[in-house]
Amino acid sequence: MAISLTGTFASALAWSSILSLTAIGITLLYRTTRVPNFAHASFVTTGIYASTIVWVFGFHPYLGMPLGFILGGLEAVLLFYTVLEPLRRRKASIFLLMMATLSFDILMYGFLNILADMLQFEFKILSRNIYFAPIDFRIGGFQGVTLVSFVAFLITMVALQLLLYRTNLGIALRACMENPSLAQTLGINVSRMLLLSWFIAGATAGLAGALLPFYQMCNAYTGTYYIAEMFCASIVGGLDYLIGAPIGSFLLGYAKILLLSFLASTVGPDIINYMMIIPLGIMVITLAVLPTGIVSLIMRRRGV
Amino acid sequence: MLRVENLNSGYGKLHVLYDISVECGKKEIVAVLGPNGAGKTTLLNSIFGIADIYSGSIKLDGEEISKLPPHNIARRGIAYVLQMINIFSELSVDENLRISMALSKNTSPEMLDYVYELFPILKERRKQRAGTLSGGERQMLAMSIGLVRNPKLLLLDEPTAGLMPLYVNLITKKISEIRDQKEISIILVEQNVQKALEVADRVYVLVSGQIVFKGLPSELMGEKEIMKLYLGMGD
Repeated sequence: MAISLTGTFASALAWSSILSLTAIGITLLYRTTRVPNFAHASFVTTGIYASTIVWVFGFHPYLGMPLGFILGGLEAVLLFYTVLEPLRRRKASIFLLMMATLSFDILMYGFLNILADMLQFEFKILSRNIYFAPIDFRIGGFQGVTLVSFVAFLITMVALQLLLYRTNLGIALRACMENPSLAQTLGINVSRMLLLSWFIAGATAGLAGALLPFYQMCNAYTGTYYIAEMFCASIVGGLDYLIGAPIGSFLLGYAKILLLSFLASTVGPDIINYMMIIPLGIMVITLAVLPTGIVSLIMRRRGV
Repeated sequence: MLRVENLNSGYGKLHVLYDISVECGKKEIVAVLGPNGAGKTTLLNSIFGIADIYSGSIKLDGEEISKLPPHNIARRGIAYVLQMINIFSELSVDENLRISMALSKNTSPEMLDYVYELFPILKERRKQRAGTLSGGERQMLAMSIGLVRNPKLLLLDEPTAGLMPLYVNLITKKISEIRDQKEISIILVEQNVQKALEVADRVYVLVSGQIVFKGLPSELMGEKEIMKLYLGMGD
């Protein structure tokens, strides 16, 4: 039982770390562009297929992490340049921009399915049952993805912290988040800062996607399946502060895995089919009690 | 320095300024006065590329800037201090100044020392989050954000609006100090006519998007009707 409980905690750590990597981008984009980005689903799925591509070419799928990072980032840049920026210049509403991200996501979903078919026919792999846990390394009885995803999460957070608080580029990005009109009076190219934020968001989502097949079986639909949970994590943590994303992710991640584990052993394994109720339920409760998320409570106490 | 000629501008279909011509020379303070809704802020917004320009020209040192985006105009040496929301309240005082300096080619570390000398209270509060400053301190920071860029031209939109008299006097005094100590021209949009006339070298009065007076402050003082009708400075 002790080992099982530790295993559940380790599983929750891996899932929370992966979820954080996705939620941080959603919060970042909401802060910079004010757009709830539904295309985050395809950024994650792109990461899944990045590690798959690396694997079919004979490398360890962990080496797909940098590829997932870059491809996810480039996909976000493509979305920003070809769809969002032209719409933004025409003063499109946030709702229209949000629908544009959904349309882009559907387009990418189709493209990723074509890619999955190509991989299946060309390399004779089950490209809709991608699961790397059997080839993952183990450390102290736990799957390597627990350590790798947590370290990837920590490095990402430290890098983001350094970028945003120690570099002029990062301070310019924060300036754009707070007040784009004022930022442009200082000579900041707001459009370029938005592009940077989209790259970071896509890249971290791609990185999360590259790790996901080590955690669970994945297919072209996996990103879409978890998009609601990604949004829940951002909203529960609080969309006004970047730190809200990991706080919300760890709360939801641990609540979901621990509760599921408990319910599966008491009620029965079929309860797993209803697992999305947990993050959505927590989001509803949080919004009722703290409409601006958990971080607002912390910031209020600090007098910020 | 800056020459605005026959400017027609506004926001989309809302035409605000009609055939406006304004000049500002080197080391000169030009005050733009007028009642609410006259188009004073729109004039600054037009110079800075925020408003829509329908016709006319805006030249900075002979170079046409009317078609440039705001970030490019800023890089050519114009600093714009907005009336409202003119600081980054989530950044520290130091970060506000640092980000402004980082994007200016004309500036030097001495400019940071200069603004800290000009407004010593900001030096004391340099690590403090800008959102926690008082109204007067915020205005000092807003002006400093523009100043540290060492601009050729500083656009000030009602810098004394809503401030207590102590700060109104201080800010007005600092505006003339900046002109005297640095090679900076200033276009000052003000509601406080008396204070504006104290520091301005030349004055424009704008009413319903058109210029009804241009000249020296002493000449404006003699225009009793304009002073009374448009500026509320009668007997």
